[in-house]
Amino acid sequence: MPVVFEFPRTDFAGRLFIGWTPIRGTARLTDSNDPFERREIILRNAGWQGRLWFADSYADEGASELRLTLPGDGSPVEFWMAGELMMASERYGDAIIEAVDANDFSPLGTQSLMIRVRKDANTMTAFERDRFLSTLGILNGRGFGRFTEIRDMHQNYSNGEAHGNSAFLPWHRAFILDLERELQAIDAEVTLPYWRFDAPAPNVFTRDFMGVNDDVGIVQFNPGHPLENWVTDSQLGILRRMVFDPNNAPSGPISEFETLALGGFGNTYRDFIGLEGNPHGSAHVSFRGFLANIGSAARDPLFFMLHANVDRLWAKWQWLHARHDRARQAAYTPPFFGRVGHNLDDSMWPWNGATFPPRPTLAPGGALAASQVTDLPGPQPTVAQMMDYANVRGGEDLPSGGTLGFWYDDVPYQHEAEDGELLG
Amino acid sequence: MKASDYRKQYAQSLESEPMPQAIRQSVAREEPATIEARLTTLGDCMVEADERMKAFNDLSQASFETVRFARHRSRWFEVLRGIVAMEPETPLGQEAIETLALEKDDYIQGFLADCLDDPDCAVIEPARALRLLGVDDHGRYVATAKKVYARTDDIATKREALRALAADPGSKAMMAEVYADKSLDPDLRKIGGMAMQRADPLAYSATARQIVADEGEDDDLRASSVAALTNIAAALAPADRKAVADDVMKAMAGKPSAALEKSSERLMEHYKSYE
Repeated sequence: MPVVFEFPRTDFAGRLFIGWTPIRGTARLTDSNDPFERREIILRNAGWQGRLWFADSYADEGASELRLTLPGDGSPVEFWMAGELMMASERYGDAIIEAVDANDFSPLGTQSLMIRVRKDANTMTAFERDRFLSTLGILNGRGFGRFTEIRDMHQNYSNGEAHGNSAFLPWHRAFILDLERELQAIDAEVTLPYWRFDAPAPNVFTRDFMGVNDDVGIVQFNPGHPLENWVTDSQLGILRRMVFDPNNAPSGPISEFETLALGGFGNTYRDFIGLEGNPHGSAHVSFRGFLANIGSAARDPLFFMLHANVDRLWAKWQWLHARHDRARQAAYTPPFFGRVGHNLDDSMWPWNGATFPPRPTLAPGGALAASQVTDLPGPQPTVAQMMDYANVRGGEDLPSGGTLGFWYDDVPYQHEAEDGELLG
Repeated sequence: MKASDYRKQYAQSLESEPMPQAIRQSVAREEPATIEARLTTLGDCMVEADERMKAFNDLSQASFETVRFARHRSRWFEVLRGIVAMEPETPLGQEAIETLALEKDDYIQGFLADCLDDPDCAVIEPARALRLLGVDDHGRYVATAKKVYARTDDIATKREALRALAADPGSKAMMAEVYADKSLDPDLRKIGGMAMQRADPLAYSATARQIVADEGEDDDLRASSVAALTNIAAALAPADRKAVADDVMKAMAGKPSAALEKSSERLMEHYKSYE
């Protein structure tokens, strides 16, 4: 094809995964013999599910089509693009950039990609659900290996690192990101879905998805389900008993709107962090069994979907009130008693391997899993690195790659300026 | 949808919320005095059952704010033990048993083991008692589980006894026998298989292949076995994976159930990643 696209970052197989954060791409002509030729082309969507917007310079919104003029000498022409909110992909290749001739609309080039974002578990498609479950089952294997290490990070002995202090949210953001990256190392098209505990989720608590409990409190799945043989240490199966009707939301957790108001009149992190009790703790104790106990909670794979929603609520609060900037007092609060691991520039256990007091005496799991779509946050994440996960503060100077590589389907990207003002 | 449009829409929805800001701020955190008051309510038999259950739920939630709750934790367990001692059959007593069991509390483990030793004990269903005892990975109650397995005909109780025995290395051979025994209930065999895939994936794959290839076997057990063979692929040598794939292909060529077919497709797709 005469038009070739280039992007700064693809995976080892040359595949392009993006989210809501704009990335810079280039298009160039490869078939012209006349260096003075100027060919008008149009970039547009040609996929059947994922949709993109385009702009000719850095922006946080754009149009579904973009006209470019490509020189005949093959020089690349820059453009910007991102996934269109609410129009994420289901699988790789269902989003396609097409370059067509501006005069006769003849096709000149295409680029397949995936707009890969975390989705609501209750509304994701059966295809997405099965793929996620299959990957999770493989990651846990026979109950040893990487999932075990991840699970062991969230124990009673690590309470001081993960709970009851300022880095509760950053620590868990890194924790679920670690798991998601391990899943993506098995299947790059998988993301961690979130369970909205403030809304009915009848599609989640079925034998096809996260299972239903029997009289004893053991979760039952359909035969052949990828989690049917779930084993953690010597625990065969998942101990979980719902204390709410699966057709309704649990009664304990406060709603999303109430959660977003926890920051009070100043919308401060100091107050917002109160979500650790409700809705977070309240969501945990909407069940009996593994999830209702901190030491065993991460044995239940639903734990990660619950915490994806806690993280989504933080992301949404950050978006709503422009709270991604570490320099803004309202965006983060220094820890009680200056506890190490909770200050902005502290690296977090266990990824930093620290085993001296007050850290726990062991650090399971090693470094944070790497990603093929970004170098951030590196193997030993700091608290501050978890804040601007979508690079909303980076703008044009820090194009693609400045993100942590995850987005939520209902948390948009909007550039956040120094003063907290939004671009769009 | 444009981000700016979404923001406008979302802001409008937020403004229509009736809850005052001040109330919103107060809902999340339990203050120490409140926690102590709720512990008192929880432990007081003279208080209405609903009110005590509400206190239990509030305290369970507060226990997730671990640092804040730390100073109350020992009293929380004391109160729960008191409830188990005085009123174990009540809904609150059952909640207390389960909460303490998840903490691997010595008192409750002894309580459950005593109950299982006493065939007349009606405080808790034996299957549930076994499940809660089995939360302890150290397998301290293996003898009890074996005894119950031998004496009961109830499938659910037998199943939970087997589950509790998974922590016992000495029960490995028993698990293999259960998994392979066609005369047993498939639910029991599935538990035997789960224990075996964890302890000895190679031996598991040999038995699982026979089960998958046998059209006379229970279809659900075949599908379940294929699911396990998929998940443990990394623990098998290439030659073993090839043998598994060959048997699964044969099973698919027969008249597989929908579950077996779906499970087999997943296995074949995953095994391809090793090629």
